[in-house]
Amino acid sequence: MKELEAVRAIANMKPVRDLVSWARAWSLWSVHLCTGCCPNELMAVSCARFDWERFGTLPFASLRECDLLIVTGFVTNKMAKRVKLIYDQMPEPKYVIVVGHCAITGGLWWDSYSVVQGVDKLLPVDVYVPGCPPRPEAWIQGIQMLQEKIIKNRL
Amino acid sequence: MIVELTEWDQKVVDEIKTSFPQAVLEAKVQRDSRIIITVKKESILEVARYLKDKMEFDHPASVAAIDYPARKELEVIYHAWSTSKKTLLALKTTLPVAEPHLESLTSIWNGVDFHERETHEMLGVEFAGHPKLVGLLLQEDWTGPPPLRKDFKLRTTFG
Repeated sequence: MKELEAVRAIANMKPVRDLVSWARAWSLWSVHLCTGCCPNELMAVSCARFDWERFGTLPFASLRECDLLIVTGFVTNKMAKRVKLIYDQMPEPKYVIVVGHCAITGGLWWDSYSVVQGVDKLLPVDVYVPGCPPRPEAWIQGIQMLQEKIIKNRL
Repeated sequence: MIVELTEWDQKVVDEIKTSFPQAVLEAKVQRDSRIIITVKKESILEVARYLKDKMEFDHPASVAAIDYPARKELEVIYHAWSTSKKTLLALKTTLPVAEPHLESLTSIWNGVDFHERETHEMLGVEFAGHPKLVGLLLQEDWTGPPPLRKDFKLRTTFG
């Protein structure tokens, strides 16, 4: 146990924490939960022209190795359970970015019988990227805001 | 070729009219390769069986229903496609909203299974004889009224 306490003490030292949060901020691997049509912009963001891998973000297949959940589009009441399940399966620390009006507020059909009025009813959201759909620059700004948040918070 | 098919459409309409004079309320060729047949709800099963066995309507394309609140009626529409004759047929019937019971056509066309489940869920039509008439698209714990009826109340406040 003493070793564990020693490791914790080292991990709590400011330079180490800074280093860890810096590393986290620049290796955000993302689950892309594409429930709407905003992923069309995701293709542009992740491909050569805008290329968010410059910022360390990589759309990845296995959600158990990811630390960023990107919800892009409507979440229906039926899907809400699954979104929670996906979020619960991701390892800590984890961050949520919500992209597009539909995911932020429920969008055009907010009064419908099946639509959740915003993903923040289900999950703690870190960054909102508004737009219908948002431009790739807005996505990248959202990623940068999250990086800033991670580095400043020193989680 | 098109003329020939239109003749076949007219033949379908005439034959349905002569075979089921009591059941068929209206039958007409709308335009090239489009037929509309309106029947009484009690006899939809036999008309559909005749259409499939004798008239080569082998592919059920869709099942839909429309709510008419002024008439207090639900109109159920089966679309059947004939792959050999390239003709789309709409088989219509009307039900009172108070008693939306209809004979299921799954015994004739297996493919209407999911369509009837959706129509049941969204408009509350009860299909008698359906093998598994449970929810399909809505959330599992849905308890409200059928959401595509006209009297369904949408949310009015945000949050």
